[in-house]
Amino acid sequence: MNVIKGLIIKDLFELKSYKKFIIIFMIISAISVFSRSNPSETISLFAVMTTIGFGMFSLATFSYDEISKSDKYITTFPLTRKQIVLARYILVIGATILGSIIGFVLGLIVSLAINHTFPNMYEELCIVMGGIFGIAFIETVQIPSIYKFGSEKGRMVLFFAILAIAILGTILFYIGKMLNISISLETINYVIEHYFLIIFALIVAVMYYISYRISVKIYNKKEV
Amino acid sequence: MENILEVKNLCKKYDDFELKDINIELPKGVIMGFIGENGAGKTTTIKSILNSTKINSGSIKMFGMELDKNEKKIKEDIGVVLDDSFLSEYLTPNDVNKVIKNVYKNWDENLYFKYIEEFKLPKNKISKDFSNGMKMKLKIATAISHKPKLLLLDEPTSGLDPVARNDILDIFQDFIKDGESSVLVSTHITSDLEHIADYITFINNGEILLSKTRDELLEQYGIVKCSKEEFEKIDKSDYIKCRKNKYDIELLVQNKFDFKKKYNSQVVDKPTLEEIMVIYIKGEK
Repeated sequence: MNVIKGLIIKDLFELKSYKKFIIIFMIISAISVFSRSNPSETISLFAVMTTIGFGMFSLATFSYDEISKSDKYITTFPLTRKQIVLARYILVIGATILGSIIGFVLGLIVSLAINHTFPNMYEELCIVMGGIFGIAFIETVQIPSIYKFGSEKGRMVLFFAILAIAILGTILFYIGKMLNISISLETINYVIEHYFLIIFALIVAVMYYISYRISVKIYNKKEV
Repeated sequence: MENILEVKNLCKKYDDFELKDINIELPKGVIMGFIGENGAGKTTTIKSILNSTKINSGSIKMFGMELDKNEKKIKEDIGVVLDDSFLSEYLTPNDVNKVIKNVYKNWDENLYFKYIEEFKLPKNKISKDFSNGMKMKLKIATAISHKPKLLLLDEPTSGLDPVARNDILDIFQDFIKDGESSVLVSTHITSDLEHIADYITFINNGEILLSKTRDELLEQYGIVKCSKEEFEKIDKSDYIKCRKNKYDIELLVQNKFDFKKKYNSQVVDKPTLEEIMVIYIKGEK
């Protein structure tokens, strides 16, 4: 485990140079969110922004490694390639969770100070989970793509993934229409109200797991 | 003598390049210079030794253990310096210590900072602002501070000025002093090796052309410069390769003493590694 810790520390040192950007990003996010007319949205929106921000910043470590060709050096360490990939996933997932917690707590404090009322926590958490799902989608598509094609081309894959999902969604919609399958709004609302958090938490966990397995497979075969 | 590294019949195929039957034996307590022109296969061989690239056939043994079965254990005892790769340049020597002390079980923090001070490297400055020589010294300090038994270096002196190169070559000599550790250093700057290498292994076009002690190579091999008429009298089996220049012909001979004896009148010069390399590559039989 120590070697993985070493790799995560390396990534955190690399992100040190992002310190100012992160602070500026949070200030801008806070100003844009807290100046909204509906104060009940502030916590979740701020948390969504910090979650996405932290997740995106953590992906920047790939670019640092690519510039310094660190992969070539790191594979000479006494560790397996699986551990190298695992360290990266721990960092990215950790940054995403940390971003959501920091955003949520700060948002809650500021919101309480301004509104003096406690918001509907479940609703707020559902919105934050939506943010986590969004950044998790980006990360889980991008990480294996970067391992396969490098940082630049890896980003392109994300656009294709979004396009593919849009096409698939449209196809499913028309198939449903043709087969006369309809889901009532009440059913959707019921599922969202009762199971949204757990369903999305599970989907996100499965997405990370599949993405991790694909990345390990790609990286094991990669010539560094 | 016990071998620290044994490479046997290593083959690696790419679409446009191939390592053919590479054999290397590196004994304990020596420096081996691994020479060859750019693209000859030095880096690919080192990458294969580090298992950074999958080989097609052959075996690699280090410290008496098979690499493919004991990779993690073996890598604990190897120090690696790569010309074009290290940790991010946004890390300071202090940061490097904090990272690498988690990587190697035998990491010696005090030894690392002793080298950092000896090499006059600022501890809290990011290495992006270092000169090329300083960057290389940081890589070397990092590579030797877990007291490895084998130091593998890929082109450590390219792009450095003569003073920095000399400093670095001194470090290698210090490193093998205990008689237990060895160095395999790949370079195309052959002059660096003439004073420090005990063995020279020469690779060309993916094949090992020779692997001998430096003394055998520099003391026994010879360069003969002769005219066209003199050249015609020389038996083909008495020289390795010849190079036809504008005004004379240069021959590389394997045993200058035998050659002198046989061809009485010929003057045989002591070769440099560079001359041997150039005639081997550019010459003809």
